[in-house]
Amino acid sequence: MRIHESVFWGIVFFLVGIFLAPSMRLIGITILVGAFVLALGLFAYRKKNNRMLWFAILATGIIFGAMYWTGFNVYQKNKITELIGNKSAIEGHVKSIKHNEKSQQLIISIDAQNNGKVSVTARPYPVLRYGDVARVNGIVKRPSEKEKMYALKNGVFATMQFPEVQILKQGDGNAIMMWLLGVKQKAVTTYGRLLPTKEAALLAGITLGERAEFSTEFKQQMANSGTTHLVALSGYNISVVAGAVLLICGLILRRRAAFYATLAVVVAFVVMAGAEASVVRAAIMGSIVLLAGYIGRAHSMRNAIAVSACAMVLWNPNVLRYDLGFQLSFLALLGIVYLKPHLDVIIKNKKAGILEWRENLSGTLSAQIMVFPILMHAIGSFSLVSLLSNIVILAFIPVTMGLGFAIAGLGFFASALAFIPAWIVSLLLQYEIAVIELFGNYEGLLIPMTALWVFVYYIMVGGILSYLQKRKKEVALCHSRGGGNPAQSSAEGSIR
Amino acid sequence: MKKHFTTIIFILVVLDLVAWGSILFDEFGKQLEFYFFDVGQGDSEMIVMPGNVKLLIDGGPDNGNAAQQIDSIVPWHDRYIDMVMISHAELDHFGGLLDVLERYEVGVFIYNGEGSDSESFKELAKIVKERKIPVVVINEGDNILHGSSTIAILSAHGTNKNEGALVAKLTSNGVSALFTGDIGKVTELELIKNKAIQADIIKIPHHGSKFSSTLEFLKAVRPKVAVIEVGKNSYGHPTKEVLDRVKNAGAQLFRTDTDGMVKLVIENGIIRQYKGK
Repeated sequence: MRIHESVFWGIVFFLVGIFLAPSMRLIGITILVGAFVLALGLFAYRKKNNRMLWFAILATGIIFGAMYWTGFNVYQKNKITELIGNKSAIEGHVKSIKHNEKSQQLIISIDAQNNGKVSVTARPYPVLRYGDVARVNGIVKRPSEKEKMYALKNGVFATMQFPEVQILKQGDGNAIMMWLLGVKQKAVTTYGRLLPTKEAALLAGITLGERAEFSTEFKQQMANSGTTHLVALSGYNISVVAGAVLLICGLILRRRAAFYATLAVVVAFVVMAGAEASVVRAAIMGSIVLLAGYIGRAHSMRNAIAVSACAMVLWNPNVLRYDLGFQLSFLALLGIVYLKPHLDVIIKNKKAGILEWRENLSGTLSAQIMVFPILMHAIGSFSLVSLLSNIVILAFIPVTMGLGFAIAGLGFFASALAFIPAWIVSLLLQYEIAVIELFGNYEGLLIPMTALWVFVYYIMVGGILSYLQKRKKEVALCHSRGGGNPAQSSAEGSIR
Repeated sequence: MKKHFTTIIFILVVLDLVAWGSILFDEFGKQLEFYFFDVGQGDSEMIVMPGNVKLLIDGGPDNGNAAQQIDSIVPWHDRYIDMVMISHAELDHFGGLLDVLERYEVGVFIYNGEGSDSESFKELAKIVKERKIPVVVINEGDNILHGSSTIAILSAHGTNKNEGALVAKLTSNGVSALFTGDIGKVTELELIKNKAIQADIIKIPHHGSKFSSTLEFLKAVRPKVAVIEVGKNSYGHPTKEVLDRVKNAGAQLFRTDTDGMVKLVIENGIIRQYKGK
């Protein structure tokens, strides 16, 4: 087995271990996997099959995965356990913040010895910002069942509900982070000044992933129309940014320099968007999609995807099981990398269509096929109209983003001129809002989906994909052997 | 390239015409108009005087509705509000202004000088300061004049926050309107005794609380149109007592919870009425 193959399978087994760990005891997993490895190993040894033997050794990665998950959670829990159940006055730095309609959702990193993080639901005022040092006074609790998913995916093991909040110091965070967040805030404010509320909110969502301003009704309409990903700063948005930057840099810089410049811009962009796990993930995946476009060979992507998934899971192993966003974006990515080339053959047929509708249909469909059962399982509904809504909306998103950045840029240097792109983008945003509202009226399809069906579905998709992949290889092989050089064969014929 | 150049020029000319067209032919701000926004349980009204001079009285609760409704009435290129006034420092009257002040350029911020210790009011004060909006403390007897329109402040302080709400009377184009914040019986009686409070339009005080809008007060005002700004609440607003009193006073009643945003346009002294729902 080659090194890249070993790395891939090693990661896959490690991830399987992390995935199983929340449902089984560590000892159980160890015994089961140990027995399986031993049996496979002995079998391989007898048959003198080195490849299978190596495979058996790699399968022990399942145990390491389960150990890592258990260790991580125990360590994180231990940090905060002694505070749970007590009324405490905790001082700490605000790490992240989400403004809701009637509350603020904070993650505070505790400054004292028994550090750790606590998730705080606070009253809307005083308004807290990243880097503020706050004293929160209230009862520390374990996350309830309802909060569990949110807490685990953020690596948080304690919560506080509406404690007394006092700001002790402002602006004590990382200087670069604060500067970038300031830039973002300024951009959002500029949008708010130049555009009506709804349009400003959508633009802030599309360009910067800022979703605080959306009304509950509009959020629901986006979910119904399958367009939420546009404002989630998904891999798609980041690939648009990276693609544009690469294009501009490519005009003035050498290829390698352009690549690094693009990377720097993407990193800055990610930090600006709050450097949340979801955005980091999107950045990695956006870059992968971009890379796939350049490399154009799906199998070269396999390790890139596996390594990035592993990196994110190492950072917080709970995302694999508890972060729906993580699951959805990885599945969508797999769809785009592996399924789209096959759909392209049928849908695109080497034609672009008006506003590249074939490309957008193929992309959306491949992502939707992959996320469909998970969405059904977790949320219970799936947007049937998402294909249509995405086809008519996606073509305008890069222009909208470009104008959004232009407005933000002008807002800094020549705010009096920012109204020019704002007027143009206003037309686009009105169209996009109209599409979202139109398709948002259709409620999603409801099909109950059990875990077993989800499993069967993915096995089937995996099977079909590997069959298609194999057939494609065979066809390619046939071409290179049989029809290798038709001009030559005909020339030979004529000599005869 | 030449082909593209022509297309770009064509698009720019069309956009330019659309932009200027919407500015020159806009009907907004040519007549006296009143808007009573549907902001839920809270107050928010806008007076648009001829010449497009806008006065926003209160911003409703902190739910973003006021900013959205202002967006829906002003032309898309107009991001300026001349005056923002709060009747008194309670969240259901100023909460929505946090949004409005972030989104619109505001010429002046007017209040009665009585703030609040609440964190939300501190946030409002912070935004006013950050945005460098001039602050004017207004008092009983003061007037705001614009062209032939006069806004007279009839009351500015009282025994408590509600009673001390700013009471403003607008007279313009042969029509008058009374804005009453959350005042109760005490201030109402004071006004009956000392001020000329007759008005064609009244914003019913305190969301239709039974401790306000006394029979005597409504008799003295003699309104043709009465608007109650109210939303889902646990106080029983608007109370049956007030609804009956308004009916007895002979005024046409609108309420924002059932009628949505209420718009009154004054054309040659006639009050044209429009409702959102």
